[in-house]
Amino acid sequence: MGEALSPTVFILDDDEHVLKGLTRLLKAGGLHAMAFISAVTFLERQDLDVPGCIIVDLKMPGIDGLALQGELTRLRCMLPLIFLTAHGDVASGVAAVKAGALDYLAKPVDAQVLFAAVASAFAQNTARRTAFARRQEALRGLAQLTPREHEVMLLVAEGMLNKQVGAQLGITEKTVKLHRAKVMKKMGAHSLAMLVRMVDLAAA
Amino acid sequence: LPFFIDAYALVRAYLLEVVRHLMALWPRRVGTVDRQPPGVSRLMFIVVLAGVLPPLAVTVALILTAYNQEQARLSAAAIGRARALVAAVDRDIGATQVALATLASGKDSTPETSVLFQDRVRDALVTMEVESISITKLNGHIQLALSKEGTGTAPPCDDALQASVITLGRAVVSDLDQGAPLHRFAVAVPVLRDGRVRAVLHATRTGDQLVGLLLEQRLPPQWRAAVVDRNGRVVARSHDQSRFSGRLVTDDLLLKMQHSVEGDLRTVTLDGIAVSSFYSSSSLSGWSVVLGIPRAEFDDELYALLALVLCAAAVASALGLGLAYRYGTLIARAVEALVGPAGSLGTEAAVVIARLPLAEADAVGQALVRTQQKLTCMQAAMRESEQRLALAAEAAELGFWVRETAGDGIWASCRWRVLFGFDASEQITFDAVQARIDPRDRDIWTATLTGLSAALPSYDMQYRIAGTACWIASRGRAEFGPAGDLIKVRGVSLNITARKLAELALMAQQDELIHLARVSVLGQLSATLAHELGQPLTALLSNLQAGRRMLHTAAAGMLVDDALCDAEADAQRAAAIVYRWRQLAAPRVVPHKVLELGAVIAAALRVLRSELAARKVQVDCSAVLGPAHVLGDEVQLQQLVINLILNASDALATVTEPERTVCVQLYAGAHQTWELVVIDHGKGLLESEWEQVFTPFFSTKEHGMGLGLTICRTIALAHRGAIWASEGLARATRFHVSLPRQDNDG
Repeated sequence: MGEALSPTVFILDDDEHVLKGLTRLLKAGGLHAMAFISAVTFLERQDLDVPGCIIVDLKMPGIDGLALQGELTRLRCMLPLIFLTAHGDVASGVAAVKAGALDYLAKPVDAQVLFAAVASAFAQNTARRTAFARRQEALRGLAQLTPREHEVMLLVAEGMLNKQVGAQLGITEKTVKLHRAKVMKKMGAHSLAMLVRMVDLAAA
Repeated sequence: LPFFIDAYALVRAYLLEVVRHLMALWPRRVGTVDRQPPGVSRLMFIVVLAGVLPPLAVTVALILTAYNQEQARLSAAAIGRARALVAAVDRDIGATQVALATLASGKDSTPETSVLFQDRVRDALVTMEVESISITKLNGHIQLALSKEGTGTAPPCDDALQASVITLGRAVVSDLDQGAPLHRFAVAVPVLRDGRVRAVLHATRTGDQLVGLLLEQRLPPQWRAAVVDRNGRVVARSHDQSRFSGRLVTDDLLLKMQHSVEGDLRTVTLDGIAVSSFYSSSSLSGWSVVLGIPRAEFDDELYALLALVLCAAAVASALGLGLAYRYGTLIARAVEALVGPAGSLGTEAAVVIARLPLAEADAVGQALVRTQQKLTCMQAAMRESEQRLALAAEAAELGFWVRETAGDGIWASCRWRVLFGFDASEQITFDAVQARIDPRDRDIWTATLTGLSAALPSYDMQYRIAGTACWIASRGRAEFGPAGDLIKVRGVSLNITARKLAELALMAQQDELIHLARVSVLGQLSATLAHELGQPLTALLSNLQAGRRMLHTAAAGMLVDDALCDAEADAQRAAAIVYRWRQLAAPRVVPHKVLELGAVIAAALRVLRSELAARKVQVDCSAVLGPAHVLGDEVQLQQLVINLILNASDALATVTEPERTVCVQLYAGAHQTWELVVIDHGKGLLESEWEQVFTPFFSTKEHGMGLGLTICRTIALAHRGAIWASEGLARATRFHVSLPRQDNDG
């Protein structure tokens, strides 16, 4: 995870001319693009845990755009989807966006619009990936806590004072302070606010 | 007997009358004068007479028989009495004879008459109640003649009497002596001596002395009894002796008495009374006794009885005839009351029949009423039906006509007259009609109507009316006689101008219709068009914009060239699509040219590619064999294939996805054709729909226009081909199109 990867645009379309043209355009715009002739080949060959986004034609033989979207959600893939369609069908567009598609573009698509959509997709992807990383970190810290430390942490995160926590758990304020220091260390939290955020992240 | 004859004549006359009436009832032979059949009254009269007269005749016959028997019995009794009277008379005379014989046999009765004898004779005069006694010698000398005192001298013995006594040698009675003032008769006996007749002893008596004898019989006072001598003169008579003594009896009685000893006859007495006379003659004296019984005594009773019977018969007949008349009239009236209503059956008039006094007539009357009701209903129904027919004929603008070969005239309905421009009253002739037929159709018209024969009795033709734009459809049938001669022709004519024009217009509009249908298919496919064009345009735009971006970077050259090349190809692709679609939508008629059906199918599939993808329908073209050359219009054939594949896809809408496959086959068919088959395993067609699906506006789809397959048929027929539906294996629906093969070099 630590490597600095340049985000990739994955293009899926059953028309090879369209595929070729879009790839060329994205590459000309300085982006890293990969073309797939069908959703099946994409799912089979591609590691989904990479930064980037997917541009997919809504209507394709075999697995179409909406089916791919469902499959990616099931796989907890963080790559945002941009739909392309030649039909301009409002109903399928609404369904796609409701299911979490980032954007819905009508063919033929203008380069500016496409790049804007890709940029926004990348941003979303980056945000998702960061959030995901933080949560992982919080969970890792949480795993190191003893049960008593966990109890103390939850009560502190709720905003109780040490004295109140001690009274609640039937231990002395001193012991509470000790547990609290260990919790802060194990969770890697520099402040109470940070701890509270991490607890929230882990609980989500 | 005359009465019997009268009665017989009467009965016979009655019987003849009855027979005559019965004969009158007998059905007459055809050819005789038409006689009015007998009425009910007359028949009933005959029945009554036939009922009364035979018993009457029998009764009369019985009475007459009884009368006859009574008569015979009376006759026998009367003759018996007559016989008894004769015997009495004989006895009386016999007594005289015996007395005389006794006198004669005395010894002193010699011719020399003694005084003693004379005394005995005188005594005898008194005792014998004779008028006189005399003895006459054979020589005629009267030896002794003594008579009753006061009666004068004794008459001499009649010579004839004396002679017969001498001849016979026994006692003889004479007939009445007419000469004497007192009608006398004599009894003479012979005086025998030594066995020889020596003298005749002769005594005279009067008839009056016998009257007492008759009266002694105590006959009924009306009866007449008479003693008649051999000459038929009345000797004694029970009534009016003094008047009729010595008179001859009636001739008929005399005649009868001369022929038979006993008998009877009808006659009239001397005092003018009609009687039945019975007589009996004595064998000794030859005298007779006649009894006359007044006929009134017999016949009054008979006549009274007959009169009673006849009266009874007359009363019975009168009553019967009266009743017969009354009831006959009743029946006749009852029946006559039905004549009027029966005559008005079937007319508009309501039949009202009051209760009739005769059950049968009443029943007939009720039946008539019911029949009239039924008839009314039927007439109403018939009128209704006629009106309906007339209405239908009117609505259909049908004109009827009938032409009889017997005359030149043609009868035609009003509508027909209007159709052919004849006035309502104008006489229609064959030539007149012929003149109104459009000259272009006149020959065919004439040939059709004159060419009717028993083998071909009906016709059906269409022609125009001269000078108008009217088209007439005419249909008719001829009737032929037994000899095959045309009797009449019936026909119906219909103005079909509108239909004819519509047909022509329809033909003109057919191309337009195909075009419209094509456009409607295009409408259906517009989304497909958008997608089709969207693809190359997307590629084109992408390539061009990539090229521009590349130009701004340092790395130009080959990359830009590649992008522009692709863009050019994309643009051409788009242009090809646009061309294809524009061609499909074009209404113009493209001249036929040689086409390859495989290519046509491929082109159609290109048009349908996205549509089929959207419907998730696969097309299996593995059995498309070729090359298959036909002569035709590319766009139309392409549309034929498109329609068939779209139809198949529609049929697959309810089928689960993996089975949504349309199979297109192309192979060489029979009779130098190529056969194109489109198969689906969709919802299928009923066999009854195989033909129906090709008719306009028939659709098994909910929103189908019902024109797709109609257009297909039009196109197939325009290419001299055929199209039909059938069922394949596993409920597959198969649409076949067969098109004539076109050799590449031909």
